[in-house]
Amino acid sequence: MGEGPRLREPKDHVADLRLHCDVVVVGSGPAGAIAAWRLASAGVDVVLLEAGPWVRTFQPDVGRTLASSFWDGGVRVTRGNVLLPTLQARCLGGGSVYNSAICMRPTTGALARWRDAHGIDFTSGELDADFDAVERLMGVKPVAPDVMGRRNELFLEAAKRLGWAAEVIQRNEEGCQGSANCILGCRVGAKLSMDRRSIPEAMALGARVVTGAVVDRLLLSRGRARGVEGHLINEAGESAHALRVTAKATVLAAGTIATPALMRRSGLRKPGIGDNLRFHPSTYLLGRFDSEILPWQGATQGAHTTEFLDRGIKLESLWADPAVFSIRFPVEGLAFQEWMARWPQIAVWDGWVSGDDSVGAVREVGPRLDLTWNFGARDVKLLQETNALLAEMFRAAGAREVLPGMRGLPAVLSADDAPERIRAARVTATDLPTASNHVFGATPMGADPATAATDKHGAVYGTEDLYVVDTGLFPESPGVNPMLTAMALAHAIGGTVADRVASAARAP
Amino acid sequence: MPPGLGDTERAVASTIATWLYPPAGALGVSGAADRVSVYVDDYAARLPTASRLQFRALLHAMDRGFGPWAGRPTARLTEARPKDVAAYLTAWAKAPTYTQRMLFEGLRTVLMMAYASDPEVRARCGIPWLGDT
Ligand SMILES: Cc1cc2nc3c(=O)[nH]c(=O)nc-3n(C[C@H](O)[C@H](O)[C@H](O)COP(=O)(O)OP(=O)(O)OC[C@H]3O[C@@H](n4cnc5c(N)ncnc54)[C@H](O)[C@@H]3O)c2cc1C
Ligand code: SF4
Repeated sequence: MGEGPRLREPKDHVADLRLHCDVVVVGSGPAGAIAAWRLASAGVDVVLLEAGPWVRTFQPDVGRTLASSFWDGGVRVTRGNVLLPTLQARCLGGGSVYNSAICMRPTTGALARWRDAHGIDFTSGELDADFDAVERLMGVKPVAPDVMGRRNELFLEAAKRLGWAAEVIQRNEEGCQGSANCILGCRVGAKLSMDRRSIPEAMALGARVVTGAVVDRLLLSRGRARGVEGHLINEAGESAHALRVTAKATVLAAGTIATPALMRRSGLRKPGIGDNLRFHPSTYLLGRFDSEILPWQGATQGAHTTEFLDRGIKLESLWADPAVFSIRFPVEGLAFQEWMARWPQIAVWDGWVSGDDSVGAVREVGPRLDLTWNFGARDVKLLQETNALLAEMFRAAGAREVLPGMRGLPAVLSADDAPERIRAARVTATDLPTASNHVFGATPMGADPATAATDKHGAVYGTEDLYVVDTGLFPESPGVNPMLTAMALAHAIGGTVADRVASAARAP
Repeated sequence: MPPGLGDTERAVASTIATWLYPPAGALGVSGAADRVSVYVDDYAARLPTASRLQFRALLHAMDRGFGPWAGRPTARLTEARPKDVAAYLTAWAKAPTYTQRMLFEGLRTVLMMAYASDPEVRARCGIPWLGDT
């Protein structure tokens, strides 16, 4: 194992830092943390670098949370035919700290598309053991009945009335108290985000972790990766000192957006690196009931449909904060406040589509990112249909009114005919408000080095000893929420890298 | 933390919040309350530099755009009559141009975060507030 402290944080950054290890992992989100844990479990000397801090005290509100713990202060948007807001966390644990902890294995249909269109075949259960291992480690289990809350229960009742397949969501948590506050970080420590599960275990196995460590460039020499360099951020938020980590292998897990940006900044600009930026465009509807729902009670996301997965549509129950959802209320001040006062009778349900018809790119202009993404016409139609399906659920659940947020429709629709009115609306991309926190695909795996960034093992084509493990690997949507698939792939690739490092060490 | 907003930007935020959240509303809490602009200031201070500059530029654009809109080039949003403020901001909210609508929506989101995070507003809506826990 390597020398020095297991954990270095911004308060420790008082001088330049140089480290050497077997494998350096860049980024500590679900993918990087699992890769680091797998490598450390195999006895490999790992250094895990994270640009953000270890957040131990959470902010009480959404604005301060976004501004302090997300890249670009939480106001990141892509440009293209629409402006798509997207959130990427910047802290130890990455997205897992603020996400809803939904864990779901990819659909068989999605894996078949990965095989048929990209030559990446996981259809015969090759990743099953990786999924099992990750689910065990992360404590994945269904939301307990006592923390479902009315909003989630009503969702299941509505699906049942419509005859649609739906189920209680499985999440990585232990002792969830149903505070519905996942977007603010879990104050009771029930969510098993990576800072609580996997990173501590990796450290106990000898992994070294550095937070406030921003990687700026890959060290490349004669077609091989030799490590990384960057800068350290101290407690005052200043980039005060230099960072250099040399390694036998480098694993990139900075997320779908930051990983290709880092590769391109380091001179790796071949096709496949930074193209194919994908999202699951999402929507949500508000439904107003006569009775109390108290939407802030219950697990953040406790129920979802599986009925439409093969059509590329998933519906879910959701809560975040009124500050996020009240944008759906009429702008006019008096009506707005009347609606605010109705929050106890409102439920929020969301939906997203697989985004197969929408694509973008990651480019960098100096130190800044340029993100583009175009919302394809087929996806616009599919998201409109998602709104209609959500409205059907609200009607089936007995809602009085539905707030669809679609331009061209009134802000408030009667639940009786909302599905039909939503379906009948003539909409273009800019009429449907959408956002997405499921981002993937910008360094895709594929059998063809001319179009893909990596092979099936995350090994970057054309550069030895360089791997990608984050959601950028997905050549297309996994058909479900992305985190668990990323963790299983990282587990598998972590094992491969450990084997390769070990066999290189044995080689004469 | 670096400073958040300048005086003009704060005043613009306050003017817009007062229109969005009038004192006569069902909740009886006005967007003019100091704590809304204090929140927005604090929020801006936490943003990374590039995002903060964009946010400040947006507030200036709202202010500077008022004069030409009103046909009086030197007129300021912060000094306008409530009726004109309402008409001007409605024009932004319902603008035919997508980007303009989205800019207004972005600003409205920040002001909404300020308003909806106010403990008094939350208490009146029956929404729990984590600030004191
Ligand atoms: C609000 C929200 C809710 C979500 N809910 C769910 C859900 O319930 N289920 C689900 O499956 N998915 C969910 N997602 C998506 C999920 O969180 C992501 O897919 C997942 O976190 C991706 O993991 P990752 O490791 O690829 O990247 P990330 O989690 O983005 O981690 C990348 C890490 O790398 C760090 N980094 C970036 N650049 C550098 C650099 N240059 N140097 C050093 N470090 C760097 C970042 O700070 C970050 O910590 C949600 C996302 C959000 C934002
Ligand atoms: S719902 Fe609340 S208690 Fe449960 S995991 Fe999320 S933040 Fe924690």
